[in-house]
Amino acid sequence: MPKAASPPPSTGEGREQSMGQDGNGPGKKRPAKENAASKADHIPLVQAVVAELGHPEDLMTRQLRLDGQTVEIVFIDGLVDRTTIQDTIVNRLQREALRRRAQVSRRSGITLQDAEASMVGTPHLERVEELDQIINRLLEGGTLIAADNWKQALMASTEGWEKRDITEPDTESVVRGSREGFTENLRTNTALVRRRLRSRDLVLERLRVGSVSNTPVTIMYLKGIAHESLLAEVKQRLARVDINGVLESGYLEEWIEDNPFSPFPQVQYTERPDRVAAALLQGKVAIMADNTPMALIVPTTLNSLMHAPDDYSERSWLSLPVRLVRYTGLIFTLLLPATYVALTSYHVELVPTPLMLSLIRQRETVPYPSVVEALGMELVLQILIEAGVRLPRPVGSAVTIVGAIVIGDAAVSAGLVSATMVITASLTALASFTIPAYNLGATIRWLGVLLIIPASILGILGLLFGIMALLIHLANLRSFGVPYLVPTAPMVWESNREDMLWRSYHWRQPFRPQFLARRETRSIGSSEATGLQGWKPPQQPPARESKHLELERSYSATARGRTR
Amino acid sequence: MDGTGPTYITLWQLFVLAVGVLMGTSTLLPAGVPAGRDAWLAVLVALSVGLVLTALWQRLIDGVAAANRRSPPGGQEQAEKRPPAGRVWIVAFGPVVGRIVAALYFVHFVHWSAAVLRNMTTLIGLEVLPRTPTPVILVPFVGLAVWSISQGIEGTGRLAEVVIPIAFIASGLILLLALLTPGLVDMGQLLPLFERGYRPFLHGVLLAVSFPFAELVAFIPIALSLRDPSRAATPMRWAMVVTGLLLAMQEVRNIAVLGVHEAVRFLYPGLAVNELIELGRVVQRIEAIAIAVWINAGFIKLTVIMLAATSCVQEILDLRERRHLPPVIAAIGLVAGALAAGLYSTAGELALFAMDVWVVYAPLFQIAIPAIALVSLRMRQRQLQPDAGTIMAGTATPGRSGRRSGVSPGGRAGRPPYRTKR
Repeated sequence: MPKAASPPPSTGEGREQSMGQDGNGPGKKRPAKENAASKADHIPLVQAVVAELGHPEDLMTRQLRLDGQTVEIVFIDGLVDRTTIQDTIVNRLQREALRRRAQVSRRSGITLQDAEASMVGTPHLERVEELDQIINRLLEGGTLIAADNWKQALMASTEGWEKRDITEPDTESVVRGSREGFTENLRTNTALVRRRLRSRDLVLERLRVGSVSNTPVTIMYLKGIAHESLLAEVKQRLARVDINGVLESGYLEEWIEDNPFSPFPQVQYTERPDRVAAALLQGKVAIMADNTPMALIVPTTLNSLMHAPDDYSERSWLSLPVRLVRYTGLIFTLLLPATYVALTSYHVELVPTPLMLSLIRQRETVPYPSVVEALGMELVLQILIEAGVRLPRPVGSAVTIVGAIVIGDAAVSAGLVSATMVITASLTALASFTIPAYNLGATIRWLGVLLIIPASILGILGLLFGIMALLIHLANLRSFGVPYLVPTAPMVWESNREDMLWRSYHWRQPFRPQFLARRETRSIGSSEATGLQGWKPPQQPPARESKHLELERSYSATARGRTR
Repeated sequence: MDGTGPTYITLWQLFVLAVGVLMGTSTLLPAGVPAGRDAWLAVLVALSVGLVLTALWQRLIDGVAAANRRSPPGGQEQAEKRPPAGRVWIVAFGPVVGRIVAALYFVHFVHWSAAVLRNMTTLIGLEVLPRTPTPVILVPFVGLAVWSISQGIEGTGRLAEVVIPIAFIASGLILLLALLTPGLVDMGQLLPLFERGYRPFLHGVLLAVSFPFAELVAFIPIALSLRDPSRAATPMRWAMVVTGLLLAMQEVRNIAVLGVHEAVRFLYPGLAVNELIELGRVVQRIEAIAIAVWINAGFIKLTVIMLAATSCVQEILDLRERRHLPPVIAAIGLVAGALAAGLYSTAGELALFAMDVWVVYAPLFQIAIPAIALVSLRMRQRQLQPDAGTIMAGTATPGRSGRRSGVSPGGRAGRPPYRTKR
């Protein structure tokens, strides 16, 4: 609660100062000197609010004296749009006071109802009474309007702050697809999704997480498609979160995932609204936290982390080779360095003889065992990758080039590493970036480094043990109750056929993945309009319009005529 | 991993697990060796015997499942909470004799897993890491198996779903490669049939029945983890057919490539063939892949057998909760590992044991006791529930009626209706 916020050192002064700055602010009825009034000047409610918030310097209080009545406006600077306050609250109240002076002889002041009626221009206005509620709304960017003779107060929504524009997502760029990415503003983000799913079934549920930060978190799902049990689980897990501040969605991720000790990401994050919309359509649930340009999607499977938005907008058959390349990239990233170590240190006989000779010739000058070579090279590589992320963009590419070409080439010619190792390491790094999900790519890259250790102890057998251990872990891993390796293990034939290695035609995927969504809901056709029993997915794409056929026929007829 | 809900495996998982058990040791250690040149025929005959055996096991599973449904161990409300596996022999033989039989099976399974482990370590010691001491290989192997099983049967099933299809396809491809390598295959070496009369052939058949086909007996307790145990035989039969054909073709290849004398002499004729494969200097050293496949499938086999051993302990000690199982599994792993290190002095001794002792000793557990159990189960059921004649009525096809007993005549449906496919 806001009590935890430390009060500024000199409270009275701070407020005075802030009010003094508020020169161009709304309703400059009184000279600035009078603003330096003591607490006693506030009406009791405002006094309580100010005390509860600890007299922060950005808390603005403004008193309007309207015919003997004191109306006070309270808001937090920076969270509100001042023009809105001026236009829809202060001006309206003044006009209302003037009107009353003209019409009514006795000076009773503005009543609550009249004030409410006068502020029609405010998008949202509600009566408030409880201090907690008032403070929460103030911290969200609301404006409190209170008067000394009202029993309740009014709270107007006047949110307005500086925000980043919607830009193209950096980490998930696509060739074909929407260029919009999430921003830090929760409302903008939900709107981006709603614009893609204009359905009454799209449900947004708001909760607050973080005992200090009070971060608004929104759960999004499509009613009737998402499993109720999944929803209940998501809500239950979010309710369990007990943390001071949620500064990024990653804070939430660690609280809600199934196995926090697993190296694998069990929650997918994305900065693409179209991806969230697609996930919602599949029956998944999205979780968005304010101030985070990333939405969390649950449940997540390894398979869904290997898919990219392009797969769904490009030609259907292209998804097969592209995804095969990605899975090959995954296997390369995981196994290549370890295999190199195992082969060169234990099983030289497994390498075809000419290749073996070449390898031995390269390694002749290398002064240490291949484990050290591999671990050292991997370390250099990870340094390059990390530096590439952190360095300022104009410098980044230069450093990468220096690192990759100069260091690599120099190291080989100096005889510090073999050329094969440099190729292996760079191929590993490159392959790891074929994995569309950055978190999975990083996980696999580091697991590949870790696998070097068993491979250096037991050779290929050690590598097998390592892979086996990973597979055992993956086979037992779940994300929100959904097995991580689905639809391979457990085998779900329909999903394998529809969207595993090959993204089948959209018109050939009549059902949602059964491990995610309620099976009776269809992804093509509408389940209400058509009887579920009798409906069958089209086996062929819809027939072309006859107009085109006519054109074609006439064209071919003329072509035939010419040849004759 | 929650310890409350019942755990189920799917039919496909049962299939891949069964393929894993069948492929586990038999793709490298050939089945039906005593039959010599006719080993492939012995495998095929043994396959048909195995298919018949599944009918026996299925009836036993049906009877046990129906009895468990009527009176779930631990009461009706416990039925949905505890893992459905376990309780085979007590149902069939009663609490005292049942426990003794379960103990016998426990010894059998532990010994068997020790033999599998020994096979693995021998192969690795001979072919992969000749100078590495056995415990270094044994310990991670057993450790991984214990860890895998401790997380429950579902995880084991899913692991098999990932590993076994790859292993099976790789085996098939390796088989094809031998045929593609020019000048390697001489089909004439397969003739003549029955050169040495029928006795060695019968010995080969018997061996091939007990190793590998009848080894699926380990699935009797595991099949109770199916949502519908009455369908257990189908995946088992398919696994037998698919793997049996692969094994028979491997026998054909071994003899056609090596000739019968060499094929019988080698401990791992399959590896010897794979070493000969060379296609254009690129495709060579295939035996590494074969060994990797074999180790993977062998691991699955080990986990299945250890799971079966665990279920025996579960039955004897009446363990209700999953959290009680990991220590048991660890103990089984320890004993099996120790036995594997000490039971046989050489690989040859193990091979001789498989050829001469296993062929008599294993069918006791694979065929004899299940058959007696089935008879005993029926007699007990008649005694206990004379009015439940509808379940076991029509003694000609009790298995079929057991299949229908999903809704038992008492009107108490023990489990929720099975999930129907769309």
